[in-house]
Amino acid sequence: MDVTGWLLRRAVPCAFVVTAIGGTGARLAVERAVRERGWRQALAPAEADLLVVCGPADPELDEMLDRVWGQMPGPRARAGVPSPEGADEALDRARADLLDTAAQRRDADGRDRAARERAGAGDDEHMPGGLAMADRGEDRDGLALDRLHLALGPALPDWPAGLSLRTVLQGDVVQEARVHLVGAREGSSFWTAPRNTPRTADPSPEHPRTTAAAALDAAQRLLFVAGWPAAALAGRRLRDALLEPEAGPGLGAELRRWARGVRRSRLLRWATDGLGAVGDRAPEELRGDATDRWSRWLDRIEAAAEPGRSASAPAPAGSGTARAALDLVPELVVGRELAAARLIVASLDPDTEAVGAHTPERGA
Amino acid sequence: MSGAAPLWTALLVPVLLLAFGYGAAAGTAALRARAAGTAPGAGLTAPAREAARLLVQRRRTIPGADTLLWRLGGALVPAAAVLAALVVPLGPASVGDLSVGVVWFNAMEVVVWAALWMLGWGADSAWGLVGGYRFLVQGLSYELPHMFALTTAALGAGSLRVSDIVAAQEQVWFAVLMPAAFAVYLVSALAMAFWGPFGTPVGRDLAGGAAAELSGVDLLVLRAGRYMFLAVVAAMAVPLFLGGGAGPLLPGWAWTLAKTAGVVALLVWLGHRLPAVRMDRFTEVGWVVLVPVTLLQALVVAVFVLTR
Repeated sequence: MDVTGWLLRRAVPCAFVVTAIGGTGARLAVERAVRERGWRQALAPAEADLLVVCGPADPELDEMLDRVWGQMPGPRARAGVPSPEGADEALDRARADLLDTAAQRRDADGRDRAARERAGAGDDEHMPGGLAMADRGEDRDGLALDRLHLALGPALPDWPAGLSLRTVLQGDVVQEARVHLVGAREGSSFWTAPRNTPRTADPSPEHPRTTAAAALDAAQRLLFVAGWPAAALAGRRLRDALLEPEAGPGLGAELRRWARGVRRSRLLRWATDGLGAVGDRAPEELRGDATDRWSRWLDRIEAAAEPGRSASAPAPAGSGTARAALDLVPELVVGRELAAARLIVASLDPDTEAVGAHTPERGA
Repeated sequence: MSGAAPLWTALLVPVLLLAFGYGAAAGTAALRARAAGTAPGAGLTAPAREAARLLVQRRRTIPGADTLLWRLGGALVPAAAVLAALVVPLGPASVGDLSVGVVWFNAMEVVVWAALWMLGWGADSAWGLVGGYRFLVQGLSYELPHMFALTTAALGAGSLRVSDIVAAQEQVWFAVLMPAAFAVYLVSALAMAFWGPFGTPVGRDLAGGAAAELSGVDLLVLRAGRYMFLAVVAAMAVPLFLGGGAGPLLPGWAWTLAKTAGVVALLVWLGHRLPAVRMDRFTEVGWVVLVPVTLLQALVVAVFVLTR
């Protein structure tokens, strides 16, 4: 009896989803398909068996993806989803690859052989595992601590597409940070491009359902980072419902209920209060602390839920806001603990597709 | 109503813990499925199907990893859960009714500190290291209030023996007599099982934290161990605060199981309703609010015991 095949057929796939700049539409389709199939999304390559890449190919990103692919333990399968239309088909194909036990065994044998050859070739024996040791530097209290170089993104869940935040950590405190964008830079934001807006009767970017869906997308990302998967998953479901051509009955009431539940959470406020405070010189969307920013998203969502008030809904953030958010990231995260840094980035939510050819400032 | 159960019941302990742990995992998956708009029924089989996936997945080897510590760290979590459960009475008897049962339980829970730190350190990964740091901070924040809550229950009975604590609750449950200690115990139960709002050491913002580099059976052991630990801290709440096996009609063991299931369900519901607690903010609450609260509670109970 083939136990491996029997177990594999019963296993629920776990997908590690990476989004390239220009892949927001594909990401929405993939997240929806994964959710509706009851699959899981991986936090790290180590636990995943599917690598799903949303958006256009890019040489720099491909090189990083190869490293992610190498970290996946196997059985493993890879799916490229360049456009939203191909999402379901690509996931089906990847699942079939995963179930092909003969091919998976060949893959595993090939990797084992390559690993043995590398080991036989003899690496630098002075370093553990042939890796460089961490250097030391003084931290803010004058103690000599290891300096770890950690790149946040672009292959990181709940993270802006194509953003790579190159940090130096001491302990879990960010000492230095600089922003780098990976991937194609032409094109425009998914949320403001008319061709991409949902298949509604009124496909203008100012449509309140589009702005609410954009706000929900940002909010679900922040909620996942804030460690509240139940609210984040419900947010994804409502976001997908808003992007449907026709709103189902009761959607407005459900949106209001969800927004009220999130707004009332004292723990969430407590986690985000005072984080990433931005002064009045910044675009209006970004002002205040992280709590102010997510409260404004909830305002937009509630506005869309009430037909009468929908005319007053503001348009999604433009390219100016996206550039300002990107430039603010390094100075706001330096000196912060990693959990706070991730919440700050999620609350600024820089739309990397809207920045165009803008080169981010070198950063702190 | 004290006493040690026959030795074969030690074999029952991991089975019961796994059953309650599976229930907690399935309940969580069902609530998540409902939030995601899919059939909640699929959640009941989700942990089994995830286990099937992880059994097939290959183990990883990492260059530069401290493999011994790394693999040992994950395996220690279920081991600590089973060892802690040895002093929890099922009805009238537990496997080992030690004279220092409460201390034994506390010691096994501190084993998890070592386990998570070894797990995070051993993987030679920045994510793992930060996850390990986080759990140590979490331990420093919850451990003192937690120990005072345990002490208060022991104080109420005048004994560290778990069966004596159960016997002392014949008139009134300790959950009623010392509500603040019970509440602190429930909060620290979530914290020591690094689960739900206290799950940040293996959190999503750290790409899995201390568990970021685990795959296959190593990850399965850690996840199962975590749910078993959640089950054992829920089970320990029953003899400490909820009168043990006391109850009408049903035999003692049935009441113990029913009350444990109730506490597990409460913890799962809390995990579903609450976002994560940021540890750098919780430390202040732990030391400035919870420590004085539990000390005052201990004082009140001490006066009550003296005047009774």
